[in-house]
Amino acid sequence: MKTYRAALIGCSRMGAFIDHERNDPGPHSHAAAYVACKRTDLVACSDLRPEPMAEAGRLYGVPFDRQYTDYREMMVKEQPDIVSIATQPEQRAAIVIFAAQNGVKGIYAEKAMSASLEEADSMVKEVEDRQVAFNLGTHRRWHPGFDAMKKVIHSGHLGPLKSLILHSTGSLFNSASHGFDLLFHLSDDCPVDAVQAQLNLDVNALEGDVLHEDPSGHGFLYFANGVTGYALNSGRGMEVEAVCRNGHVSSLNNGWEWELRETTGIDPRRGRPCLKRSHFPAFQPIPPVANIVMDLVHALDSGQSTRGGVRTALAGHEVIFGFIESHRRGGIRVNLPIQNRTLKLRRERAPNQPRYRRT
Amino acid sequence: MKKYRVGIIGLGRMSSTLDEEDHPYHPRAIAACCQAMDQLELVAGADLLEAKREAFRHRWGVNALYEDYREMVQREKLDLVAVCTTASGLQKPARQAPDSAFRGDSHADLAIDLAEAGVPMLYVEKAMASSTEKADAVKEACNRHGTLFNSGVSRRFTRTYEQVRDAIERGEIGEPKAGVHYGSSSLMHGHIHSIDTLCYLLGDPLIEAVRGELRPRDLTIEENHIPFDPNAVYQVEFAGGVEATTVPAAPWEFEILGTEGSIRSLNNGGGILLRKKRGRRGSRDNWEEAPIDFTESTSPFVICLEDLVDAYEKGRPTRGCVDIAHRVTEACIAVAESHRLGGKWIDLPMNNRGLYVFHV
Repeated sequence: MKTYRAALIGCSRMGAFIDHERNDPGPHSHAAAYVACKRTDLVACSDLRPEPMAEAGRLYGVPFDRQYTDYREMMVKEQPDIVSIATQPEQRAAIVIFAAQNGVKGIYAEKAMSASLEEADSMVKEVEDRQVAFNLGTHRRWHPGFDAMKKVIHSGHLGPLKSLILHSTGSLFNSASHGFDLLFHLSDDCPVDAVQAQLNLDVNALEGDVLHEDPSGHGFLYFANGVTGYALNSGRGMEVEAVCRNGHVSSLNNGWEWELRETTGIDPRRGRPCLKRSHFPAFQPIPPVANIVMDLVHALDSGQSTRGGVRTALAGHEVIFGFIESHRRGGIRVNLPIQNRTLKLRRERAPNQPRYRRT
Repeated sequence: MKKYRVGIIGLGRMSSTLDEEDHPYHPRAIAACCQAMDQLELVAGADLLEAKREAFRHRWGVNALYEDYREMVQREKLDLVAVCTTASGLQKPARQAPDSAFRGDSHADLAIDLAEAGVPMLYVEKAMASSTEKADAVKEACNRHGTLFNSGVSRRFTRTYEQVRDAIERGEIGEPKAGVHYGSSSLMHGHIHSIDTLCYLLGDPLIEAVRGELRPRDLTIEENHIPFDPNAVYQVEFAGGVEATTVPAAPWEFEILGTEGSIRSLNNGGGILLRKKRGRRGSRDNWEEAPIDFTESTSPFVICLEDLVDAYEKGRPTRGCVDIAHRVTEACIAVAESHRLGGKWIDLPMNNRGLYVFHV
């Protein structure tokens, strides 16, 4: 079987070093996933900063002569099959479009998808026109526990899904991009018709169509099938609760625990149905990042779609910008897709310093 | 022990027959509560319908029955009057206003009249009013006359919720930051309970702003009048920054989340789940279940009436005093106002005080 040549653009935390922050079994970074996967070789890497690139090269065995400060040069010279784009969203679209136009067959892009919807639209066009397999790094879509949760929700056992509650929405581009994609995943990727939101946005952070910070906020997602998603910041951390007519199923402590409560009868004291804890199905834990890479490999082998895909990524991205638009208009409900595609995230921030070693 | 003379207006379900239904914590009907309490003596009742008066006489052995409640109040020298009519004043099964001019508001009108007549203690079925301007008038009348007031928001008087509130007050979850009500409900009949319970659990802070949406979503409000009690969802922003959200679900549950943990009333008051932060898991805080005592409640309606009597004897405010009931009623109506304005946040006090929401 073919071994695919992978290259990494953005040799910082998500690209190479997040494994040093985690105690649970990896891989967690893009580079670690390509090294761990038997069907991929990490052959080259690129970053504007030579120092983290050299550290990443040392850690994952990418020789100096295959480390590039210009990603264009890297792609032209190395002709990788798969490219990971682990930069900030402001740089993402240009790199994805260049990769698609230069023969890359599979793209693993960090979230958020891009800095604007206009850019995201261009990404969709290039990726689809050139039939590039695409996955966004919204990991929980590839987490077997959330697959089990989704299966319980849609098994019919608990009756129809009514509401989805995301207890930690956080900043829209960095955190909510995960949460929104998870809500889509758990809703079986039902389209969202409209959203409504309130943000914690500094008045100076939005100048015309330029957004100078990644705002946090909370709001609602109105799915086309009548399900409502509640994107809260309740303080419970990354926990998700699905409310069905006859039961609730929850992911607790960021996917470490799972809880199923179902109607098992009438509470004699109250004369009403009550929920009791029940057995959540067992699943085989596999690091989501490994699954994302294997999903790309499968797509390249078979020609089939990935589990994510560029349209799915765009759906979550629409919600981010829908939240911003709703906030701009006083918190009213706004229909998706939103008309203003030019609003753009443009932050002036120093790059993060990754942890080169486990501390 | 002094016995207080009680009269009831509206001799139907809430005052007389409620205990026939499958609800926890009996007695629930006000007449049954009076029988169960040494401090109260049910001496009179009033209802417009003769059949209801006769049924009440037969069931409770009360002979001082009146068609006109004013006559009852004048003759019977009552210490406590329970207002158990429908909110609109229409007889059941009416569930809708007959026309857009209808603004029946029986609970409010009776409460104002009884306060003006000098009745010292009032139990008023919820919601206390169908518009904010009427709620204003009830509050003004009760405060002017020193009338003690509790309304039938039963969870406020249920021990299982009191245990949750006590745990929050003890600091079990740190500083409260957010609240979630899990439950599907109509606005005035049901969410008056849910908003009141959230207030109660949080220590009755002021409400600063409300937003919400009625069902169906395309419901249009004409002539500042909603002719039925619509289902609704809402968010409430309390003074101090706590924000609460309702999520349609069943059974009813309430969760308050704080800096150190969360506490959730389960299964419509049938249990309590306490979770606390304990170390880290992965890169985030780990929350674990923690032990908490749970004791089943006794009748919330008895507790409510006992609270009225105790407040009267000690000269203290009641647990659900008129200012709190007014606050919660205004928040409920502000949900409808938010819907009317496309889902915008409504700062309280709200400007549109005439918006009328019919309810049973």
